[in-house]
Amino acid sequence: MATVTDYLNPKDLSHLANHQVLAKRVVEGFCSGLHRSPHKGFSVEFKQHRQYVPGDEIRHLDWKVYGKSDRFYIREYEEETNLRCNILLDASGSMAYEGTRTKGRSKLHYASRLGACLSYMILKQTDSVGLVTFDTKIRKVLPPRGRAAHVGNIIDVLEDTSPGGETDLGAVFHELVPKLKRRGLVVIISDCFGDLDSVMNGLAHFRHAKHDVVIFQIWDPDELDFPFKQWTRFDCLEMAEKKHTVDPTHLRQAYLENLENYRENFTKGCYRNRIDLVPMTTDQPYADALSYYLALRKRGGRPSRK
Amino acid sequence: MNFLNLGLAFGAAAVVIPLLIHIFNRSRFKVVTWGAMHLLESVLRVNRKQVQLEQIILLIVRCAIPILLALCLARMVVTDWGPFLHRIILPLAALAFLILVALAPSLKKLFGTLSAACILYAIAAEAGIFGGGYEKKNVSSDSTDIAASTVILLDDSFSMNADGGFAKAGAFTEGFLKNLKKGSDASVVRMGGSASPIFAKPTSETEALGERSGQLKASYDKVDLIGSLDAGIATIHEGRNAKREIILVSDFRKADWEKTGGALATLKERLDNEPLKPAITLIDVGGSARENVSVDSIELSATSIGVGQKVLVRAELRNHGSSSYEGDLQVRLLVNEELNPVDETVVTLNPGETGQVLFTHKFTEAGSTVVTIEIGASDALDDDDRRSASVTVLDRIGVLLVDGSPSEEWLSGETDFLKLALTPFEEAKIKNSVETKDLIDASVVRLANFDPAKHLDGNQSVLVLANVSSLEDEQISALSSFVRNGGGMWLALGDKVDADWYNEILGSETNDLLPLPLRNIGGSLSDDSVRTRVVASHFEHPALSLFNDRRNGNLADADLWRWHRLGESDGTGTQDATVLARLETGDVFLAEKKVEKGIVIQMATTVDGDWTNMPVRSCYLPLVQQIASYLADQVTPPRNLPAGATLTHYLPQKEAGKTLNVTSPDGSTHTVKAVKRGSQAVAEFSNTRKPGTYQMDGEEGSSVKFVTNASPRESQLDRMSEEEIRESTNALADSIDFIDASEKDALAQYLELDGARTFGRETWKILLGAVLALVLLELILQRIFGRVRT
Repeated sequence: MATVTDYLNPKDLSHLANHQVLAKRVVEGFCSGLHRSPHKGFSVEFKQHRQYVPGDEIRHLDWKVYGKSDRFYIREYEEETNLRCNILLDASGSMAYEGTRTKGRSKLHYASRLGACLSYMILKQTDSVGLVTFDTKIRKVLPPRGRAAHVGNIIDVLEDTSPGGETDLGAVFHELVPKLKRRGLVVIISDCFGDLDSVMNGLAHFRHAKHDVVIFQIWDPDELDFPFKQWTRFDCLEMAEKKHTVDPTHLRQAYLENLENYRENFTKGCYRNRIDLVPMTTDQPYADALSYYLALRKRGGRPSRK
Repeated sequence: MNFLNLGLAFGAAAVVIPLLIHIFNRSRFKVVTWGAMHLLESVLRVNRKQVQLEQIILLIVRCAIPILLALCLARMVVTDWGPFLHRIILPLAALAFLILVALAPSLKKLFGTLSAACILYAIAAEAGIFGGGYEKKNVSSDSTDIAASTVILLDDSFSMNADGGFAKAGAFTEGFLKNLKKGSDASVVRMGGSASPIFAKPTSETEALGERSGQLKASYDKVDLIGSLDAGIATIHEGRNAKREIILVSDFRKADWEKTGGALATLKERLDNEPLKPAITLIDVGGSARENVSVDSIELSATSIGVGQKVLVRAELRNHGSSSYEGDLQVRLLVNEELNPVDETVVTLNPGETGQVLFTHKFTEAGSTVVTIEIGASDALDDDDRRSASVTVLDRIGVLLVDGSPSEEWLSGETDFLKLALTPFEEAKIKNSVETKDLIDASVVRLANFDPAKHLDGNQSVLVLANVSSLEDEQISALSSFVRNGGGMWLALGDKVDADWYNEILGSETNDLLPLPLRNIGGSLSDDSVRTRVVASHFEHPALSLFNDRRNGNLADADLWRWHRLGESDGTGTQDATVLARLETGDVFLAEKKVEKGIVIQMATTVDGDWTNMPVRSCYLPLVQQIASYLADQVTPPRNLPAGATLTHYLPQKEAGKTLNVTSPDGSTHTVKAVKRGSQAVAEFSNTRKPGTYQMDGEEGSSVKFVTNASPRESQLDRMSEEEIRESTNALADSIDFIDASEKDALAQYLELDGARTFGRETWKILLGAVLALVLLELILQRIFGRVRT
């Protein structure tokens, strides 16, 4: 039975204590006026006046302004709403990779701890968080809950998750979108390996459903600098029959070029879809990268395209 | 293609090292379970073939490096560019095109085709399917541009002095050697008499060699053509350079090149087997001089002569030229090479004629003496105007007569006649003067008193056993060692002789002093009808050759009544005895046997008048004198020798270990050590290439003179024409260059000729360059092949 402290390091948590996961876009309130808001009696803070256009509800007219200026103005309010966050954890075979420099810390291991940390932080600010694990298909779904004790459930699921199966992010995302009924924050923790177009389609689907999407892309340092020297047989983690014996020194440059290309395309795609892409390497403490990202987000910025 | 250091070519086996590393690397791979396979696979899809090509290229480059390095260190020499092109250049070109395929994939079809074409062309050319345009095009190399290994065969026989031929030869040799390119090695072999290189091994100090060559003198015997060519080929075989040549500088006298065909064919075979065939150049420096008069031979009537005895010196003169001497050719006789002649005369000698001069001379001093005949003619060659001979002038020849049947009565003892005949002057009580001095000093001892230790002292050269019945064992062993050390023994038989003792003891295997075994006694003292005589045939033997001239007496004058029949072997045994004379009955009269250094002569009858009337015939005195001098003469080895022969001098055993000084004709002195050989000491000296007088001086001041003479053929100045030279040398090699130096400078002509010649060329520079280029290429390719391709 996993304990909370296995997944949540007090040092990391204290590092992140002052950060709050704010959905950058107002998840529900932004659309008020287009759909009926289900949230009534919430604290309402005046934001601005807007000229009346036909079709606006009459009850929102500010009669006092009409009395003074003889014009119709609508009062607009900024609404606070509960953040509903879904953490999507990739548990495909490729996440099992652990390099020479990250012995005992596979990408999944790193991703689980990152997920647990995020859940804890979200629950701490009294928002609700849920967890979905997947590989080719969705494996397990834990719906968002706001109770503080929910972190225990999340950690239990993380504990039970072991890597395996192929990655098919596009299909999984398409399958997942209808299941997330309420708009909210979607945090994807994955290496995002797979066909780029399919992945981008899936992400676009999330965006279409007005979700705010953040991708924590997990890299092993070996995958970034390809440090192999001697003759090597590369056995695929996802498909056992794929094996290639090559001299890596001859391939390194081409591999790095290919990697760079892939990352650039991926970054561009994310940018186009207004998705935050946060690359993380398993040899860096996730708290650092997370804290940087959260600080950036609080200021209202986005991670740079690169 | 050949190699100067063949052994190092096997270093090419190092090619397995990169191959093994490659195979080892491939077999020892690491396994990585890899996640980002989609990134890797797309790279592999595009690059797999390219990477394989690059790896093959790198492998070929790495394998080529040790191969080319090995060829470079082995100092590969190409004699024709063809194999070099299709074994080295074309494969390298194919490799270059393959690299271009890897570097410019867009043009890979073009470069791939070119690469394959190179390989196919090389294979086809190697298989001999077609030769291409380059086949048999030799590699050219200018003489002054590249280092060469050269052997100069320099004729220094004295005929080279005619018309200043040797001066030209010396100038050519010196000039050639001093102009050689650095790194060359050369050897000069002097051909006169016997092949004699200036330095034992080829030297790279060619300037010093040139200087030495310029100081040489031509005063040697007829050229040793075959020996010199043999030495030249052996030397050139060891040459350090690819360019090799043999230059023969001579005056091409007909006499030098006679009867050389068979030996030249053998040499041609050796030349053909040489991996790097030397070029052969003949340089004719001879002039057209023909006027020459020479002393062809000198003969003495005896090589051992007593003081005061007359000796006949006969010399043969020959006029090789066309000018005639009508009683105005001066001939002088010199003794011991003193300036003033002891006798002189003038002779007539017409063109092409051979004439003889005869001198008589009496020596007044004992010792080793040189007699020289000299002619005063102004002709082309000076060296053949004089010829010498060494003669040993003896004071007395000691002869010990052992009388086996002594008698008090005058002329009744067994040796009385013999003693009288050997020392006629002494017996006649004639006053002792030089003219009337006996050469032989004979002393008689009775058999009963014979004590070898006492009587056989160093003064006795000959021992005569006259009618001796038998001897004691100690006496026999003393006799045996006396004969084996060069003494002469004369066995005269008679009625006292114990035939069984002679056959069994004297003729036993250990003593072996009996030429022929004794059988029975022939003839009768009473019956006149069985008398016999010596057959007076032509005698070949020197002891009897005097009787070929009937004026000196006739052996057939004497009658023999009795004689021992001597058993001649039937031809199956080891017969080492020579029969010198026979009786009319067919029995042996005189037989001779050489016993190591000594000689035993056996006479079948008595030396006194008991069995024959020979002692009272005129032939008796010369016969016994001749036999005694012949036996005494054999003690010394010959002292008149052809040039180049080894001088041998015997000394008493006690002289072993002592050094003797040898003075050569050119005045230089050498020392030789007398070494013990058997029961004697022997001093030998073999550096006698120069004709002339060699004097060997012992520590006690006793000196021995030896004379070496050049061949009389060297005086014949008939020269070969160029056609004749080419015809003669065809047997040696197919292509020989010929330079006639009679009008134009030989060196200038040679350089002109050499510029047009071709030799094998060393390729180490090209190969080393290729190795360095490949090493650099390997580094560059390794970098380039790691570059980006998506």
